Amino acid sequence: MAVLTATGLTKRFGGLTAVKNVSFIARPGEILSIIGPNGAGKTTVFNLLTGFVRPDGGSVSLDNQDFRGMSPESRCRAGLARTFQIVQPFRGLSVLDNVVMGAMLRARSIEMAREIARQVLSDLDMSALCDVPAGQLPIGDRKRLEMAKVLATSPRALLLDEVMGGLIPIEVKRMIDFIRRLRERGIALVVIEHHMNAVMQLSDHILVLQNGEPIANGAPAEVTRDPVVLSAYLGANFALSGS
Amino acid sequence: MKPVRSPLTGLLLPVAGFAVLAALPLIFSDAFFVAAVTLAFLGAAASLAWNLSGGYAGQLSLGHAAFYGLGAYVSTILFLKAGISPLIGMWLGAIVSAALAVFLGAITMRLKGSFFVMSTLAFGAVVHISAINLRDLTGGPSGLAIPLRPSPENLIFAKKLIYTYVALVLVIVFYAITRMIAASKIGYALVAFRENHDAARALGIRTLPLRIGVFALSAGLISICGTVHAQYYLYVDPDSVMGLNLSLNFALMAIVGGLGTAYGPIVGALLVSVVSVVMQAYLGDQISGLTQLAYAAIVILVLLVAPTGLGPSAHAFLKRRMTWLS
Ligand SMILES: Nc1ncnc2c1ncn2[C@@H]1O[C@H](COP(=O)(O)OP(=O)(O)OP(=O)(O)O)[C@@H](O)[C@H]1O
Ligand SMILES: [Mg+2]
Repeated sequence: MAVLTATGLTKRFGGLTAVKNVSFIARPGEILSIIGPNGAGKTTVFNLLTGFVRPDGGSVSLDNQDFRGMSPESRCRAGLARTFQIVQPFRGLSVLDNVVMGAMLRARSIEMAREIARQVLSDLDMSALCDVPAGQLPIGDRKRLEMAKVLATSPRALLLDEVMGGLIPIEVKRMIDFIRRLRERGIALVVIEHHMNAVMQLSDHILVLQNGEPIANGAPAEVTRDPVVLSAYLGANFALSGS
Repeated sequence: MKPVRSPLTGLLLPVAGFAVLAALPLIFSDAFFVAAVTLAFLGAAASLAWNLSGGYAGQLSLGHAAFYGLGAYVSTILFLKAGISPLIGMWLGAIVSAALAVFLGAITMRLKGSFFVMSTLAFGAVVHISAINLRDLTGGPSGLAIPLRPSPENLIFAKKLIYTYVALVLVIVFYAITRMIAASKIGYALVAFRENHDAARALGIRTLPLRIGVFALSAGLISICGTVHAQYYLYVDPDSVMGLNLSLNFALMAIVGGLGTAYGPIVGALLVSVVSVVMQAYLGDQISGLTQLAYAAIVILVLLVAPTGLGPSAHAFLKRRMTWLS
């Protein structure tokens, strides 16, 4: 089981500092939520962790392996996987083949990958969708497919970027249950989520970002009582949904 | 990319298809027809080779004529100057082409989309111009003639029909190679790259070495077609084995028939050949350019009607009909 560590991550886009000195530790069997208003830098943190964007400062490691200079593909092979906020299906391929793409990482042959993919799809109640072209899925199923693809890589640490965005309440509930099961499996989870109810139900820790800077960090109960957080971001709405 | 194939479409259909192709020149044994079929087969083989990289990996190359031409020149020069059999020369040509492809790929495969296409265009032009200018080696613009000394060892046959079957063997072997790659992790990784590069990377799929490898394989195979071309015509010159129109044709056949499918290039090559033969017969060479114009019009028409290529579009059409019936 793996511990994902981010230390002092910083990223500037031209004059804009999108991420400023962000540090955290995500432990196996725990869920760390990153919240913050639009443009706070949450997705950029994921891009820095997975190597899609090079940091201007700071470092990332999984267990004791330093990820400095490693490509996204190598980081995934090392056990760190992510979903994309804007889902990235292989549109022309069937749902099963989409998941096979992820399963190939740990499988020696396509047949084996297909076995793994079927299992993952069944875990997500998606078996009936195997032959549907990914491009034809409705948004809820696309979010689940995004999950299925990365889970097929058997990650030790998993980054979920707004996997509940656009889901209807019943789907949100199922997704929450599913993410809890992933936690039980001992995966280190980092979750970006706007859906505050889900955040409160899932999180062991919460990290709040504003303008790229961490403004609070701690257990859900602490963070929600933090006056800085309340005034800076969450406001009255949050007090309602959080209670 | 259909993962689960019924045995019927998996093997029976191709075998039946190849049997029909093999029978064609026997049924219509007229010399003009046999020549047309031979060129269609050779084009199909070349387009199959092109499709491995251009179709599956989606790395559209407009420079593959350079590899085709290298195959023709390497075997011909070795044959004329050192008496080396083209049966050996074609492998040496393939190695030269593959090596050059690795070199080119390592430089250009980091380029995105149209930048990669431009780089292959430039590469094709450079090789073409080099062939024109290296007179001592290539005979310059007037090319090299191969003396007619029929023998299997020379890959020269008095009976033209034998070339037809040599080309058909290439088609079948290249088709089999394509099917094997498409069903493997390599094939899946190439398709992942083509469909969504970032998604592929996020799933730990390393594509660069695979893309370079398949580009090299594609170059090597098309180079063998070049050798057969040289032995068929007994003549090699820069424009006819390295011209840009040749590169365009390899791509076009695959696109028309079905990009990134194993049978697409064969379907495309047959169609393109039929069209050009018919054009030639009806329009002749009276008005220069008219043939090409009509040809272009038909290609555009095909792609308007069947945007994913004839094969896949027909397949989808049939599938709709079947579900509608049942
Ligand atoms: N590749 C990039 N180039 C330039 N600016 C970028 C890039 N990626 C992100 N940004 C900017 O960095 C800031 C943070 O963006 P980011 O996507 O990380 O926010 P976020 O917290 O995920 O927002 P949301 O909740 O809307 O998803 C934004 O101002 C965004 O415009
Ligand atoms: Mg975001």
